[in-house]
Amino acid sequence: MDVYNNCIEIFVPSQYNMQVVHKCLYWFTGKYDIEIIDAVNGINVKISPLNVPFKEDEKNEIRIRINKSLIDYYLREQIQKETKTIRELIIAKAFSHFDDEIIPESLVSDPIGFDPHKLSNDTK
Amino acid sequence: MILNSDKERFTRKFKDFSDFDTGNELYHLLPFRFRRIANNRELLVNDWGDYLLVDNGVVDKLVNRRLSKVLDAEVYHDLLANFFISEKPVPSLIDLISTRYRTKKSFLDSFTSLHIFVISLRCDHSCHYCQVSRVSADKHLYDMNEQHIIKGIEMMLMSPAQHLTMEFQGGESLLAFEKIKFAVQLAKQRAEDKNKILTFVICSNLVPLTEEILEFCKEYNILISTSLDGPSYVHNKNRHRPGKNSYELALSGIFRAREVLGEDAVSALLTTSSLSLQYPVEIVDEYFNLGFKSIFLRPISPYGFAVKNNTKNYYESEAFVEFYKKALNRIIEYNLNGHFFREDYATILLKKMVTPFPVGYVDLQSPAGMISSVIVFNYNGEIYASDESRMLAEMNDYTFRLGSLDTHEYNDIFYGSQSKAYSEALLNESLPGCSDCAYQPYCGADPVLHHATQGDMIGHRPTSVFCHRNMALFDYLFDLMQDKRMERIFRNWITGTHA
Repeated sequence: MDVYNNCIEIFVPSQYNMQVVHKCLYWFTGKYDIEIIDAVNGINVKISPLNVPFKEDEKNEIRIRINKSLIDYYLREQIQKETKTIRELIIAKAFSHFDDEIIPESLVSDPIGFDPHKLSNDTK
Repeated sequence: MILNSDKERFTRKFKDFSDFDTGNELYHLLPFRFRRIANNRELLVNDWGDYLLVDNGVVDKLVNRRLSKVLDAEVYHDLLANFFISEKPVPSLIDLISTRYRTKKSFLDSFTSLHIFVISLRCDHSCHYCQVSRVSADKHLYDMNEQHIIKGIEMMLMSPAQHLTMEFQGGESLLAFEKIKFAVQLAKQRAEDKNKILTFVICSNLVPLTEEILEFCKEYNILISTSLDGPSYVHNKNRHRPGKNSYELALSGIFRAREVLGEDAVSALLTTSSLSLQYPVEIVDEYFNLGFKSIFLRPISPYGFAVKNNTKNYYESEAFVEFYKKALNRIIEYNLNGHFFREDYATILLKKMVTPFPVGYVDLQSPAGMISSVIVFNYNGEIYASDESRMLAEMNDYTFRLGSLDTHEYNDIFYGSQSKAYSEALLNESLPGCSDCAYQPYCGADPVLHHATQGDMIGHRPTSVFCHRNMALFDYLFDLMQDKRMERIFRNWITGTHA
């Protein structure tokens, strides 16, 4: 097997942080050996198939899939960052055991026209 | 008299564009995940399981604040109504959203409900996919003794769940019918004292079935679950026994049990073998022709000879998905012809996809159902985290053995260090590959299967048979759901009604 022809190299610009890169490349680790190398303004990713030669059309297909996947994981990261607090709030409320019912306070003291507590006291 | 200001108010001129609220940047994202699916569509699923199918490119517009309330009004309002975005930083209906989230996890409320008693390991069959049976072995060695039955029942009744299921498995459980009798009578009496509601299930190949057994099942409302692998040429090849007549005896047992206990009290389970993969249509037809209203297309169990061969497992998983699709299409054909006949695994997935409720299926829960939903008391008094865990033990892997009825108390088993040791592998919310997956709210973690097939409880998703199979089936169901006729059939399966 020609080792040099059996891998492709993809440059990933530094706008993608390492978490996005790792999450994206994770899904390729079932079939490919992945090597990440530091480069100027980004990283180089070396990809070679596990134990089998690379097919020519496969090389191009992998490039396209990785580029698409990087964009998707970048979007996922944005969503996760932006929703972290509200997600925590929703989960905390879901499993909290306290009753957080707030009785609204307003200038109108008896919004139904009479004070039911006063009424029951009067009729005693 | 009309004032100048009034004149201005009634003018029919178009308002300036800036008068319209475009909605850009005015919305806030709520937690959701997405996945690209067939037909250039994007699937969005939020944390509490609501989903929305949109055209390709919507997520990008949404995240980058290029989605307009006016120009993309329809999709904008769909996203708003289905809680993917909010117009306030904290949505007004946050309590509702939290309740929805809690409801999806409400299977945790009752804690362990399914208690499996492996009442005997003896069996008259020697099925090639079974790792656990001891053919014609000494009953004193391989039947559960009365002390273990008593302690198992005591431990079962300590569960906080009010509704409990006591399931008798084997080997062939009915070879130890006297032990089942003892266990049922004792459990019923003790459960009444504790105000617990008990459901009994006997899993059996039905060969030892007698009139006495059926009368007992009728008296105690015991459900029968049997094995049927398809037509005789599949079933008898999968399930070996002297006389090569497992199929004939199973059918005879099913008919006799239906007669005495009623149709609903008898169900059959399919175990898919490599041979079964060649007969998807024939297997479905067999179940339909025998009058079953459903079939459970269970995947190939990796707890056999192929367990440590990840590549072989993966190819078998691909073959299973193809088998499943062909079989499901056949089932759908029956439904399109006016029959109610459902596939149980699809129904479980669909319930998770389209209803706000959880489904009590231990393989698709997060946290995983081992221990918190199911526990196994083995014939020798050992306690295991799930049925698959004890199968592993039969292959000398005791990773999921929690203790013994002889030496451990309830708290040691359910809250002990052994059960805590599994915890990091139980939640798919935090597993690599799962945490970003759109199907995470519908799927589960299966630490036992990943340990068995990959040697790691957390597992490697790109080569996981569990992940591969479930992703393929979710994709296929979402694809089918885009056809309104299919959606109607699937909703009937969920509600159990025939429209």
